[in-house]
Amino acid sequence: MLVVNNIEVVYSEVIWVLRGVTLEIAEGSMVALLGANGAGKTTTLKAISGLLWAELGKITAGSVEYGGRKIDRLKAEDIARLGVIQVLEGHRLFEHLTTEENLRMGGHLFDGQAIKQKLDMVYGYFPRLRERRGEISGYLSGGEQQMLVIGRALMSSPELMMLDEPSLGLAPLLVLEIFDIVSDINFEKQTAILLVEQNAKAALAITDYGYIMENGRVVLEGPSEKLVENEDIKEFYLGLSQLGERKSYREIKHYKRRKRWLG
Amino acid sequence: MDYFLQLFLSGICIGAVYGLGAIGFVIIYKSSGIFNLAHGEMMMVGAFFGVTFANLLGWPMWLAFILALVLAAVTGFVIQFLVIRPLTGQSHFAVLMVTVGLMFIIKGGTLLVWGHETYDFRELLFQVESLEIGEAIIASEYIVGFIVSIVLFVLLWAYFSYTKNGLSMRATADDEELAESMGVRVRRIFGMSWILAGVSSAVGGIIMGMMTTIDYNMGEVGLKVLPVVVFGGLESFLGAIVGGIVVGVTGTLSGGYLDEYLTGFKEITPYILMLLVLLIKPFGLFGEKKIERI
Repeated sequence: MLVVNNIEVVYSEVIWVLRGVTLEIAEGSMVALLGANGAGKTTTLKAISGLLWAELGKITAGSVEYGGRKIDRLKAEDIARLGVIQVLEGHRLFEHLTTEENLRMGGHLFDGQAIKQKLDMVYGYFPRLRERRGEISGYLSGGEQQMLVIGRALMSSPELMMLDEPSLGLAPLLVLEIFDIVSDINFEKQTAILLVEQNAKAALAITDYGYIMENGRVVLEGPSEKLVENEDIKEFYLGLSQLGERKSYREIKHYKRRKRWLG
Repeated sequence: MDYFLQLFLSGICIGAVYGLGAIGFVIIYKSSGIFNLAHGEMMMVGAFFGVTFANLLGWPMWLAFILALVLAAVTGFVIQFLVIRPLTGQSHFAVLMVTVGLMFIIKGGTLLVWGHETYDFRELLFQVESLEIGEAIIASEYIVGFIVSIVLFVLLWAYFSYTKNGLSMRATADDEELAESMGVRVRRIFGMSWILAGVSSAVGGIIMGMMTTIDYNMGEVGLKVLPVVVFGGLESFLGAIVGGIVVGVTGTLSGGYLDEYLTGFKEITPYILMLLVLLIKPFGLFGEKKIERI
C-alpha cells in the first residue's frame, strides 16, 4: 500500500538526513520504525506526509508511492485527504480549542452526522476524553493529550496512521494502555499503522514487521518476532546483554564493538 | 446631566465604529495569528471605494456600498496573495513588518488615485431619524453606525463560533502546520480571512466616512483601533465591540470634561486605559490566555 523507494532528504539544502530509505507497508499491517535519536525516523514520516516544507526540507531522490500513486510532490493537505495521517511528535494540539473541538477538527472533512458517529467511536476508545470534552485542551494532562491526538487522527478514518513516539513522557502503565488501544484500532478498523518508537520492546511486541534506522539508513528489517531474537537488537535496543556470565572487557566496550550489520 | 448623557451616547456610537475597525483586525489575528497594522488604511480604502461609486459616479448609496464591499474583498485577497502568502511559515513578526510597509503603500496609492481632496458622503446607508433621549440627540449617522456594527459583530461571532469553517480558521491560527497535517487547506483559509477582513474594514471605513470627512489621512484611525484590540483581547469579537465602546466613551467624556483643563487629553485617554487594563489583565478583557503547563 505504501512504498517508500530509496528516498534521500535534505534540509536547508545542506543537511543530508536521509540517505536512501526504503520501506513498505502492507494494508492493515502494523509496522515499527525504530532507531536512536537523530536516526531520521521523524524525517521519514514527514517525507511521507508532506510536512518537510515547514522545516525547509526536500526529497531530493527517490519516491513515495501510496496505492500505486506517487505522492512525494503533493501538498500535505492533499496527502492527508488521501487517508495518510501523521500524529506529530509531542502530542501537538490546538491548545486553545476544547477537547471536542480538537476532535471535530480531526473529522473536518466529513459532515455533521458522520462527525457525531465518529465522536462516539472515539469516546468509546478513550472514555477519559468524554469526561474532558468541554475543557481547553491545553490544560489536559500529558496522557490525556496523547489520547486526544490519537483520537483526533481516528476521526479522519485514516487508511494509514503514522504515530510518532506516542509513548513519549507517559507513565509505563499508560503506555501499555495506549498501545493496547492502538492494536485494537489496527485489528478492528484494519487501519495500517506505522509506529515510530524509542520503546523498542513495546513496539516490537505489538507490530508485525520492523525497520531499524541508523544515520539516515535502514540497517535491518524483518518480522518483529525475528528482530526480537536478533543479537544486535537485543544488545543495543533491548538492553539484554548476557546476564550473570563472566564478560571479557573487550565485549563490554559497546562503543568499540561493531554491530554485525556494518560492513 | 444632559451633557453627560450626550457625551456618553455619542461615545457609544463612535466606539461602535472603532469596534468595526477592530473587527477587521481581530478577523486576521483570529484566523492566522498575524498582527495587521495596515487595517486603518484598509478602512480608508473601503471608504474611498464607497466615495468613488456614490459621489464620483453618483450611484445610489446602497449600490455603492455593495460594490465597495466587493472591491474591498478583492483588495483583501490581492494583498494576501501578493504580500502575505509568500511569507507562510515565516515568523509572524516578519509579517508584521510587512504590514507596516503596506500601511505606507496603501496610503501612497490612495493619494495617487484620489488626490488630496476631502470627500463627504451625500446620503446615509439607510434612513433613520435622529433619536432624542431626554435632551440628548443622537444623529442619524451614529445610529446607522451602531446598528451596522452590532449586526456585523453578531454575524462574525456566530460564524467563528459555530460553523465548521470558523473552527478551521481558529485552529489554523493556533497551529498552521498542525492544521495542514490534518488536511485543512491553510492557504485558502488565509485568503478567506483577508477577504473577510477587507470587507469588514470597508464597512467600518464607510460608516466612519458618514460621520466625518474622508481624505487620505483617514488611515490614522488605525492607531486609535490598536488600544481597542489590546484592551478587548486580540482574538475576541466581543472584546472589539466592548473595547471600542469603552474607548469611545472614555474619549468623549474626557474630551468633554477635561479638555478645558488639559487640551488634547482625549487623545491619550485610550492609551492610558490600555495600560491600566494590561496591568490587570495582560491578554485584554476577553483575550485568550497563553496556555502554559507547569
